[in-house]
Amino acid sequence: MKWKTSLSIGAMRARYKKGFVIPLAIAIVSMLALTAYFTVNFSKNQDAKTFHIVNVENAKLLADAALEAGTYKVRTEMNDMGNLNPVDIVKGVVSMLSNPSSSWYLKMRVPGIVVTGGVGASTGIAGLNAEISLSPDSLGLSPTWSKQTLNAGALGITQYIRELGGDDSRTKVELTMMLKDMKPVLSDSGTVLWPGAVTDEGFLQDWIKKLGNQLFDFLGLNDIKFKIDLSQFIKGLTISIMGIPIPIGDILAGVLGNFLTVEFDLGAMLSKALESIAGQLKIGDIMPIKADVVIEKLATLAYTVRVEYVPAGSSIPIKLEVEATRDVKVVDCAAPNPLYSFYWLNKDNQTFGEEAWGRTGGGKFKVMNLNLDPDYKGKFELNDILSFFKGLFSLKIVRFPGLCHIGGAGKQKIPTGLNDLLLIYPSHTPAITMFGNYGYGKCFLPRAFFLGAPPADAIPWFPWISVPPIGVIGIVKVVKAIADKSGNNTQLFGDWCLSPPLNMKINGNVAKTYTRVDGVGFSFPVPFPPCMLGAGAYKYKCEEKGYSYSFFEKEPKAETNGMIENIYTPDQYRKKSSMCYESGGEFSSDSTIRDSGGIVKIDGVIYIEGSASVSGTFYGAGQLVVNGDLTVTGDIVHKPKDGNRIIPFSIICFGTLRTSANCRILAPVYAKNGVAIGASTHIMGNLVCEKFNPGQISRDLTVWYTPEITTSSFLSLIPYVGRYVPDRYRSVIANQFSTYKINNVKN
Amino acid sequence: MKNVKLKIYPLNLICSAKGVTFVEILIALAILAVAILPSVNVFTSFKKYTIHTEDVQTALRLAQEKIEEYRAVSYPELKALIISGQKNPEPNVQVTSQQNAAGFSYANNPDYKKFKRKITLSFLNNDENTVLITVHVWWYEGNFSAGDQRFVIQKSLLCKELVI
Repeated sequence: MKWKTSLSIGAMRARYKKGFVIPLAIAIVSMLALTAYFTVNFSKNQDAKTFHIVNVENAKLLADAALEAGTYKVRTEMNDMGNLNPVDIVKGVVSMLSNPSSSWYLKMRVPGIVVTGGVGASTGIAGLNAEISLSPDSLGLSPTWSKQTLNAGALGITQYIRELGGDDSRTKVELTMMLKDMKPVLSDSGTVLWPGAVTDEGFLQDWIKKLGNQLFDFLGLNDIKFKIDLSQFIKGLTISIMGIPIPIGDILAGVLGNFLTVEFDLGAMLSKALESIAGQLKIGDIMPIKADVVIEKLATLAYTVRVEYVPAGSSIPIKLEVEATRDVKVVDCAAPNPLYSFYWLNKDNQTFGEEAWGRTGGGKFKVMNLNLDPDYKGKFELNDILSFFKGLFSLKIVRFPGLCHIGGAGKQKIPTGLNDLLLIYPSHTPAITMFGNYGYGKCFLPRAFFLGAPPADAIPWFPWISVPPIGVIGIVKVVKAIADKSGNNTQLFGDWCLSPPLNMKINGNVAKTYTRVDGVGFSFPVPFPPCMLGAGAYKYKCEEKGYSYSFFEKEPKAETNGMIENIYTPDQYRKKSSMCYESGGEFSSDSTIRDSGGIVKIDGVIYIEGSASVSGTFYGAGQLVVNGDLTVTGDIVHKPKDGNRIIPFSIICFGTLRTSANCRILAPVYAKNGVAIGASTHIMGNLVCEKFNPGQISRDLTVWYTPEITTSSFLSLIPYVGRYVPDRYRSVIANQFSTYKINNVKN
Repeated sequence: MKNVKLKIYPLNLICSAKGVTFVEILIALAILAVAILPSVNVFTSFKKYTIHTEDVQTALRLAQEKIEEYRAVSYPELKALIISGQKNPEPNVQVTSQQNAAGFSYANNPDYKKFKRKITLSFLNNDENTVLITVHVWWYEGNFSAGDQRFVIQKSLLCKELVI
């Protein structure tokens, strides 16, 4: 075979007489088609790729939204404790923990409650101590009691899927949340519901003896003395011995003489009998009653969210799985506002003597712990008092607020009690009242109600109440200040006292010295339709005692970093503020937050950098935070209630609270560096300070403990933070307290 | 191979027997050029789509940046903005010298100057407990005033902080 070596086109054409243009064209057209196909396909792929990138991001956003919505649901549920009181908590904890339909976050809040308490054995009765301990384990709950799974509907994010451009009917979301690593922590020192009391039996015995003797005296029994001459009975008595009559009566009368005269002193007999009876009275010490609420202070909320995001018009899901965790902490919302009328952290351990407290800077410092005036008028009227007694010691009325707490190691010798109201209810007989009236001008109530009244009482006495019809209706334990020693400036801590016939020791660093006045009162019913009035008088003798009372005393917790526990730093308030001003002047000139009447609308935190002067009316819920000195130039008024809804409002000042004009401040006040009172000031709420100097009180400062106002937290907009309200402890997953992190993302 | 029969067209249908080779070459080259040109365009498309993908990712990043920035704002403040009618706190803002939430400044970065952003705040389902943060980021291919408009929309859900 001979190969042609000439491959020239001409030769080819000459040889085959055929062209190759057609095959060549076909080949090129094929290449062209392939290229076009590739180009078009590439474009489509690129578009799809872009589309995919965006939808993967959408899937991530959807997972984020699921986590956000789940967290929101948790937040909503975890603190929904209703209005349970501590007793109800104990009662309800079983149902809470065992009821599958109840929120498991709610269960989480109180997995265990331990209540201890009892009565000492000194009563002669064996001490009664009770302890209740409940926990999920002890109730045999399922190990998955703290787990729940939610879909898009339950999370409320179906609309959000549509907003993202997804097909909500095909898109699937499954969020599983579970608590892990729960670390039960017993509260530091337990919540002392009742600090206990060391009873003074001697006092009671003396009291009963005095009562009896006074009663006998009143009835005239003490004066009853009589003699019985027994000789008269045996006179003429003869016996016959051996038939001989012997006048034995005369003989005995002659021998025994006066021995046969028996004198009876009824008063002494009754007194001895009373003494004997009273001597057998024993009252056991009341042991402290504590409720140690075991709260999960730390736990981890573990999320797993699975998303199958299907864009609208597509059927291909973009799958994503995200694992995340969030810390759960329990925050004591009452800690920033310790709910005392006056709370002085006193980290510097300053001590002032009685003289300094008494004389202050020229003004009087009064703390009124029981405010019966619902409209905060700042003065008491008879109707208020009657309302109080209509309440008859209901818990609502006689819920003793915190009195005062002064920190530091040294004792503050504070004269007390000039304005004490005396309420006497021996042996739980209700509505026995007597107003202290020891010295004109020194007692608040008589001066208010019965100006110039002599030291005698008018006592409302309602016939439908079981009281003795006549006679002694009030044996008083009168509480009186030692104000006499120091003059007018000692109107300090004018507590109203509900004084049961027990002496209780005070806890803390306040030496509240009282002069106890025991005595007897008489009252006579006077018809005064529709009721009877009792009119009478009492007399007493003074006896100085170092006792006071203390209800629901709670020891302060150790401060952290020189701050009151859980209160925010200025920066944190600034961050959470809804309105932030760089100066006080900027706040004052901002008309956007004021209506035509100048009322400041507040919703959230109003933060002012630096010092500011503030007065006026605030409406809404929020906190006024001043990172500097706050000068109050007039009333700061806030309406604490909007219908039945309590609106929280509080003032936080990181400098000194100054007042330059007579004013009322209707808010709990946190003044870090204390107060400088330059004008008559009434705080309807409470006063919490880290530093304090009574010498800065150059005009009268009165703190009226007003529960509705005082219980506003410095921490948040929680409407009501009672010391013994379960809501005090909040499970928190807020950003300020909780660490949130995404641990894993899988496509 | 015997089944394969090439149909031979007479060459003289398209050319004469003399002097057509050069024309054939020209035609072949023309066809080849037509075939090759799209291939060249593929590279242009590659570049174009690469740039586009970069743009999309940049836009996503810019959108996410704003979302993070607004998520860091307190809920009451966002709510106040919506209620007060400031639902578009940053309308139609060209990305130039802003600083992102992390403090990273991209001032004078020409790559970002082609983007514009708009932030819209609204309540999801008119529920005041849930804010929807919507960020539009858009840009144009080529000149700002001409060419295709491209955009990315990112939406984020923020629920009310209930406690503390």
